[in-house]
Amino acid sequence: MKVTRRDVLKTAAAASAMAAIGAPLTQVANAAANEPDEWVKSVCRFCGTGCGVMVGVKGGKVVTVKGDPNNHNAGFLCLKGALMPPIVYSKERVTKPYIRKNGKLEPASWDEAMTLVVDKFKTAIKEHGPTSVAYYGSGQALTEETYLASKIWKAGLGSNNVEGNPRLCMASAVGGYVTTFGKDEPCGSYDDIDNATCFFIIGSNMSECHPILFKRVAKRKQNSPNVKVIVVDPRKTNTARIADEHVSFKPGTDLAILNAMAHVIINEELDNARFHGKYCNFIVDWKTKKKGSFDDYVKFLEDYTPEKVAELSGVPAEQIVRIAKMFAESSATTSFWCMGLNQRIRGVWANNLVSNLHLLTGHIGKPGASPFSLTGQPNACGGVRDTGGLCHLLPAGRLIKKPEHRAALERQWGIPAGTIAPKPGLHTIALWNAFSEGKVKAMFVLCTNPAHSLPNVNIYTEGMKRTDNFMVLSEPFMDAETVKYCDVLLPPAFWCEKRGTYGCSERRYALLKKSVEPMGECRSDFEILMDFAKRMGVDPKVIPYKDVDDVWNEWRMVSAETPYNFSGITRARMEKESGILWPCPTEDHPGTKIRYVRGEDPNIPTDYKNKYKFYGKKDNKAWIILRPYKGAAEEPDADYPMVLTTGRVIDHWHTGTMTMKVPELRRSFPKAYVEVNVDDAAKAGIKNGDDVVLETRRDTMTFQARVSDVCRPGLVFVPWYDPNLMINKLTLNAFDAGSKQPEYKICAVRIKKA
Amino acid sequence: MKKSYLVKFSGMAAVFSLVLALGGTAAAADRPPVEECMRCHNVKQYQHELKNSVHAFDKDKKEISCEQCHIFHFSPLTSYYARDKYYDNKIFADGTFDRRRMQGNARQTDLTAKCQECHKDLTKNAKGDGFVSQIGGLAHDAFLGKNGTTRKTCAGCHINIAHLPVFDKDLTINAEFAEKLAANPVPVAETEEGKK
Amino acid sequence: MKTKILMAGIVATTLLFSFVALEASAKSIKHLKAPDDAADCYTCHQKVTPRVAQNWYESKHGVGLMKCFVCHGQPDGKGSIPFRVVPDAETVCRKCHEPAMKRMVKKFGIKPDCYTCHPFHQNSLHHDAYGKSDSKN
Repeated sequence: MKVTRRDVLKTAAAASAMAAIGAPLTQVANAAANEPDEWVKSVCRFCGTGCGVMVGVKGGKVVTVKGDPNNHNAGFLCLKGALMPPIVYSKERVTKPYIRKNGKLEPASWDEAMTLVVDKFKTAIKEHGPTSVAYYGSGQALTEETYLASKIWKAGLGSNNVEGNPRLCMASAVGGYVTTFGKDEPCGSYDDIDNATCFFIIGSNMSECHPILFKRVAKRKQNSPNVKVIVVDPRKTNTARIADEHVSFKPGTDLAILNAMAHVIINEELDNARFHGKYCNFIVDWKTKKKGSFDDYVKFLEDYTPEKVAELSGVPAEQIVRIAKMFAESSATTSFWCMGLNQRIRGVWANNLVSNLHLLTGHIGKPGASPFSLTGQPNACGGVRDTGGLCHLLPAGRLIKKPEHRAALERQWGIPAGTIAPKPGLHTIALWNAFSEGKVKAMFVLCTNPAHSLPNVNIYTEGMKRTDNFMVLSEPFMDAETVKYCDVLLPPAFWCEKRGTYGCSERRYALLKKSVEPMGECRSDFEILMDFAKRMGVDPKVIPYKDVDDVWNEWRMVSAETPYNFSGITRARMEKESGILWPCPTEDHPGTKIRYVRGEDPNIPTDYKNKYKFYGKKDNKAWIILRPYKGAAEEPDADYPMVLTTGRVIDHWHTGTMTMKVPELRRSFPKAYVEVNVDDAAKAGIKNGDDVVLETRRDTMTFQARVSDVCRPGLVFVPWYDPNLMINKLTLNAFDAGSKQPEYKICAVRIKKA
Repeated sequence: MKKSYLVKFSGMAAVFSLVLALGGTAAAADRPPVEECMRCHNVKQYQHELKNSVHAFDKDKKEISCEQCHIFHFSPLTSYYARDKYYDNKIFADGTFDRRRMQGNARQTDLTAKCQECHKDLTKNAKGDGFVSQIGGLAHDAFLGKNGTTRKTCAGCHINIAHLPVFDKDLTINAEFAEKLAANPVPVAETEEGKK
Repeated sequence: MKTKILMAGIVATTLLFSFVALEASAKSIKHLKAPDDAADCYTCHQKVTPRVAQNWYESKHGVGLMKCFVCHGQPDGKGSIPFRVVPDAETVCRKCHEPAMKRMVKKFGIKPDCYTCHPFHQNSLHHDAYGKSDSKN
C-alpha cells in the first residue's frame, strides 16, 4: 500500500485535532462557544488602508473580528487587523478621569476634571489671547470629532491653532497634490491595482505598512507575470521580494532619480506629448508661479542625465534607464509612495516629481494609472485633510489665508463674517516649540501620543514638564508616553465603543458602528468635545449637535458647495454600504473612482469639451513643476558618517500603544533594534545580537543589532514603536518649508559597538 | 522439553550470528571504510557533497568518512550469497535512492551518541570555540528535556549538514552550502557522462 | 444492573486510558518556554523546522507576512487565540477567508475542516507564490 503524503497529513491532522499539543479538548469547545451573537460593521483601527472589519460581539463584549467582504479588502485582514480584540480589554485602559496633583495622576470625577480644563483654557484666553490655546488632534480620531474640534477652535474660540499628527504623516502629500493638481487627495482608487501593468513603489514599505494593499499588488503580479514592479528604497524590504527592479540609492537622492527618469522618458521619446501639451503647464519658477514651455523643462532636465545621477545616487545609469522605460512603456502605471517621500525637508518637491512623471507620460485618469499617495493613519485623509483639521486649512480644501474661503464658510456655518481669524495658526513643530517655551498656555491633545511621536522629542518632553503650561490628554491607554506629562487625563471610548466615520487613502468614507458600550466612565471624544465647548461658553449656534450623525450631516452639506461634494453619502447609505468614494453628489451616485476625467468625475459636466479637466487650477491644467534636486537637512559627514532612518515593522503600529497589548504582536517584536548592513557591521566589528551605540547630534542610545543585507551600506534603520527605546530622541526636527512636515527619514548618525 | 530446545537453538543461532558479524566486520575493516562502502554504494555525488560540507574534516583535519555518521552495516548471510552479485558492481548508484525518504529515516534514527563523539557540550557552538546562540541554546534545552520536550534527534533539526539534496538547496539555512556546491560542481570525469 | 456497572466500568476505563493517552501525547512534545524577547516563531523555526518555515516563507501567507502566530497562536497558551498545531477554521481561517469558505460550502457541502483539501504550508494555495521552488515536489 502506498501511503501518500496527503494520507499522512490527514492522519496527522486528525490526531492533532484530538490532542493538539498543549491545547486540551476544552479549548475546542471554547472556540465553538465563542461564536458571536452579532457581527457589527466597522473599519480597522490601524493604517490608512482602511479595511472593512466585522466586529464579533458576544454578551456585550468584542470577541473576534473578520474582514468585511463588501469593503475594498474583500474580507481580508492583515495580521494586526486579525488580532484586534485584546486591545479593547487591555488592563491598561483608562476608565476614569485623572488630575495631576503633586506630580501624580489622581482619579477625579468628570466634573472636577472638566472644570479644571475649562478654567485653564479660559484663563489662558483671558490673559494671553485666543492664540495661547491649541488643539492637537489625530488622524485616528473620527471625522466628526476632528470637524467638531476644528469648528470649536476656529469658529468658537477664535484660535487657528488646530493641528494634529497628520502634519507629521502626510502634510507633504497634501502639498504635493495641491501644488500639482490644485486639489488635495489622490485622483485614483485602490481598484487601479487590479488594472495596472506597472507599479512604481517609492519610499514605501507597503508590505509591512499597508499589507492588504500589498497583497492586492502581489496578487496582481502573481496572476499576470508580465506586470512589472519597481521598488525604489534604500532598504531591501519585504516589498522588494516581488520587485522586478529594486533600486537601492543613497538616501536623499531620490529627487535626482525622479528627474533622471523624466530625462530618460523624454530622451527615449516615451513622453505623451498630446497629453502634456494639452493638459499641463510647466512651472519654471515656483515662487513667481512663472509658466514656461516644454523646452524649458527639457533644458532643466539636462542636469539630470542618468550618468550624472548615477554618480550622485549610487544607482547604475542603466538601471535608471530601465526603470524609466518600464514606467513609461507600460499600458498603465500606478505609483505608490508614503513616508519615504513625505517625511523629508523636500517632501512636497518629491511628491511633485512623482506626479510629473505621470503627467509627462499621461499615466493618469485611466484605470490602473494614477499617482497614489498612501497614508499611515486610518482617518488622516477623511478626518483631517478633508475636514481642514490643520492650522492653515478650513473644511473641504479651503484655506484660512483666502478671505473668500473664510467668507464662504462663515456663511455656511451661519456665523458672523470675520469670526474666523485671518492668520493661520502655528503648525505642529512651531506649536510644540511654542508650548515648550511656554508661549502656548493650554493644549488639548486628543487621540495621539506626541511625547513619543514628535521628532527630536527630548526638547518637547522637557517642555511638557513645565508647570506654567497645561495639557489635557484624551488617551485610552495608561502606558502611553504622553500620559507621563499630561495635567489632566480623560478616558475616551475606544474604536468600537463609539460611532463615526473613517475616510481612508482612496477617498472612501465608511461608517464605524458602535459595537459595545464604553468601558467604565469612558465617553466618546464627541461627547468630551461637546462638553468642553459648552463649558467654554461657545455659542450654541456653532455647536447645534445632539449626536455624531448631526455633525456628519452638517459636514456633508458643507462639502456640497465644493468639489469634495459628498452630500450623497448619507448615514442611511453608510449603514447599508461598506464605504463610498467621494465626490458623490447625489444619493444614487455610486461614488467616484477616477477624478478629473469627464464621465467619471461628477464635478465635470458630461458635455465638457475635453476628456480631462484639472479643475483645481484656474486654466484647468495640471502643473509640471520644475523641482531641482536638494539633499537632506543633515547629510552624513566625517563626524557622523552614516544615515539613520526610521520606520515601522508589520507587527506594530506607530507608538505601539495598541499593538503592544496583543501578546502575539508584542512577543514578535518585543523591543526596538538597529538594522545594520553586513559590510558596515564587519567594519565596526558588530555581530548579530551585539549592543550597538547610536549617536546623533541630539542624543545617544543603545540598540541590539540585526545584521543583514536589508539596509544598504551606510544606512541604519530603527523602528519607532518601542516606548522604552524611542528613536525619536535621535531624529531631527528640521521640516519642509512648504508642508512643515519634519524630516524623520534622514539624519546623520555614527555607530559603534557597545 | 520442546521449549528448552527452542531456547538452546536460538541461543546458538545468536552466538553464531554474532561471531559471523564480528568476524565479517573485522575482515572488512582492513580497507578504508569509504572505499569499502563504495564497493556497493556508488555514491560519488554524496561523497562530493560531503567533501564540500562543514563535515568534510574533523577537528584534527582528518577526512570524515561514512561510518562516522551512518550505521555501518554488514550482514554475513546476505553478503555470502550476494557478494558476487553486488561486490564491486557498484549496484547502488546515485539517483537510485529516494533521498527524501532517506532523509526521513536519518531523522528518525537516533545518532546522538555518534554526533556527541565530537559535539559533547551542547552549550558550545559547532566548532567548540564559543557559545551557541540564544535560539540554539533554547532548542538544545528542549532536546535535553530541560525546557520543553521534543521527539527530535540531532538530525531532526540539523538537516543537510553533510549532504544537500537538490530539493533542499533553496532553504535559507543551506544558502552557504548550496553556494559552495554550485562553485565546485562534480568533476566531469567522475559523472556518468564523463565515463562514457 | 450488572450490565450497567460493566458499561460504567468500560466507559471509565476508556476515559481513563484516553486521558492517559492524551496526557502522554501532550507530554511527549512540549514547546519550550521562550523568553519574551527571544524572537518571533520564524527566526527559530527556520532553523529547527527549516522546511515548514521555508514553505511558509514562499507561500502567499509568507509574501504577505501573515505570520505563524496569526493562525497557530502562542505555544505557551499566553496568546490571544488558542494555540493550535492545526488551526481551527471557524476561529482562524474565517477571519479572512469567509467568502471563500462560503463558496466552498456551496460547491462541496460542509466539510469538517479546510486542510483535507488545502493542506497548509505544503499546497499550491499557500506555496510557490512567486517562482517555482524545488522544495515543492
